[in-house]
Amino acid sequence: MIAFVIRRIIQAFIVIFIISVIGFAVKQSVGDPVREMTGISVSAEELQEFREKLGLNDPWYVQYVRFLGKAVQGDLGNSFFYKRPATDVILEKAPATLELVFVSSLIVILFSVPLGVFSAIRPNHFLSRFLMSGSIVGVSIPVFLTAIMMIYVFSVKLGWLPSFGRGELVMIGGWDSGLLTVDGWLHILMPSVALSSIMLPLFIRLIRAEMMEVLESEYIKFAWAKGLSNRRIWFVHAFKNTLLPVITVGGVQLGVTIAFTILTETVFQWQGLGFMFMEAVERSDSPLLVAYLMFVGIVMVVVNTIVDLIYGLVNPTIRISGASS
Amino acid sequence: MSSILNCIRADDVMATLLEVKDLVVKFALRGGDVTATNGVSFDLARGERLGLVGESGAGKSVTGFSIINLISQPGYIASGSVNFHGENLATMSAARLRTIRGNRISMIFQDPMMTLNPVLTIGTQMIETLMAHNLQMCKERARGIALEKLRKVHIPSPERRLEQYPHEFSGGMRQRIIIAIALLTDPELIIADEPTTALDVTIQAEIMDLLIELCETEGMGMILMLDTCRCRSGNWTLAVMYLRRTGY
Repeated sequence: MIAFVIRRIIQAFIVIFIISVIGFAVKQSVGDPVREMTGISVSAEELQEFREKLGLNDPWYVQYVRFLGKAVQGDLGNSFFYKRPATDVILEKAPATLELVFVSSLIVILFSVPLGVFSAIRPNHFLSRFLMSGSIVGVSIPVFLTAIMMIYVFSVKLGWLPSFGRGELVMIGGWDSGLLTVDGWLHILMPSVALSSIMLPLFIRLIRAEMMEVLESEYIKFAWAKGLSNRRIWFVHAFKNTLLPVITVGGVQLGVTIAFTILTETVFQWQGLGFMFMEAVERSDSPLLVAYLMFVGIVMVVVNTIVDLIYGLVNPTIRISGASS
Repeated sequence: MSSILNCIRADDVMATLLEVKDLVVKFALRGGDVTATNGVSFDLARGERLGLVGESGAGKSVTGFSIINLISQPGYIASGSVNFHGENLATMSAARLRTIRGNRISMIFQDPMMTLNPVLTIGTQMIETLMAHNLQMCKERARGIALEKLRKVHIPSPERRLEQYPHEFSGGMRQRIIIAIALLTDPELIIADEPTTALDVTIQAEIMDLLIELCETEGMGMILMLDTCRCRSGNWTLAVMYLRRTGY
């Protein structure tokens, strides 16, 4: 197990290294920082001197090492627009996005597991048929359309839910949370449902397909022959095997969900990373874009490492191979 | 009390354990029903061993599975009866059937590599069987019985093996474990569906000898499906399946 963890952590570092190279490349090719800082009324000589001082005339690998050295310390440069360290801006916006992703993942898990399992064990039930056709519709409608339709129905027509913003926030040690107030929950409800509208049907179908395949296997037939109860066969024997591929896909999809927050946050004016990213693109705020890229990359790597560790816990074959090496 | 029980048992020895009569199993396919067995009949007395021999596709496995009413979809028992102690398993309720499956009638499958659940330990898979059929059974006692049965099928150091997963065992070892699972509840009948076909030749004889030996010592009835007649020991009744029917 320990060997497995160490191997995964080394892999994570390699991925983060590659992300840093890409981040550096973006930084190098998007805009001229000297131009941004000095404006246009500066002579070419002064510019040259300034470049020398900032180390911009050094070879790229020297600059990369300097970039990496700073990045390790959490310094990714200053945002042009906010006039503050990009890392600070990211960390300030991160709670909003992470809470949104957390709540919509929660929705996906809470609904996809029972619905997926149900439609696998009762494939001919009318609810299963409804879920299967309904999920196609769910997958096909883009997030922004779902979001706008929801705003129209629940905010404009019915006036039940607020259409934008995070509502009342509570600050706990640098993390401004909307999950501790009723107002905060009312505000997060629509964005998180909109965000999960693609993943939920996808996961219902995935769990159903995997579960149906597992239910056909010999070891399930043997479990029936052993005279076990339906519940034990479905939820212990079949579900544990169903989980393996679902966990793998889940890890990847969590990253995709973070990417989808850009759309959801824009529609709901959600002050998170996705919204910030859209603004940074419009303002060509390259340090902020690089910081966003690095942050999302690291979150993806961390999440996937955790997912792999969970996979190792569920799948005995992996656990043993780690222990023996 | 015990003497009365003994009397009943002694009387029962001659009684019929299982009576399969005109069993017709069909598979509902898109182009219409396909008949898998067409009027299979045989009797089995208590402790009797029946060899069901026939070429592949003759309907041996389907017959075996239909005894415990566990034919895979879209198969179904179209007509005929499977009487176990006079009760028809073919028309029995699912709840009642569950008290017989794995308890009074055990089954051994063809391919030991596919029969055990890969994500559960051997111990879990043995203990759950005992606990499913006896509500008073506690984990410790079930563990004790599991260990005893593993010793019976000659699994070395069973205490350690109980904590291991199926992938840590070879094919022959797995089939031994499956036999141990089949023995857990001291069933009256074991149905073994070509239990050695998926194993290599040297292991085949070992497993077959073990199975026959256990049947003799435990006094269990057995139905053994085989594609060839190669049993060397014991008293056997032979039924040959050909073209989806039985004949003696």
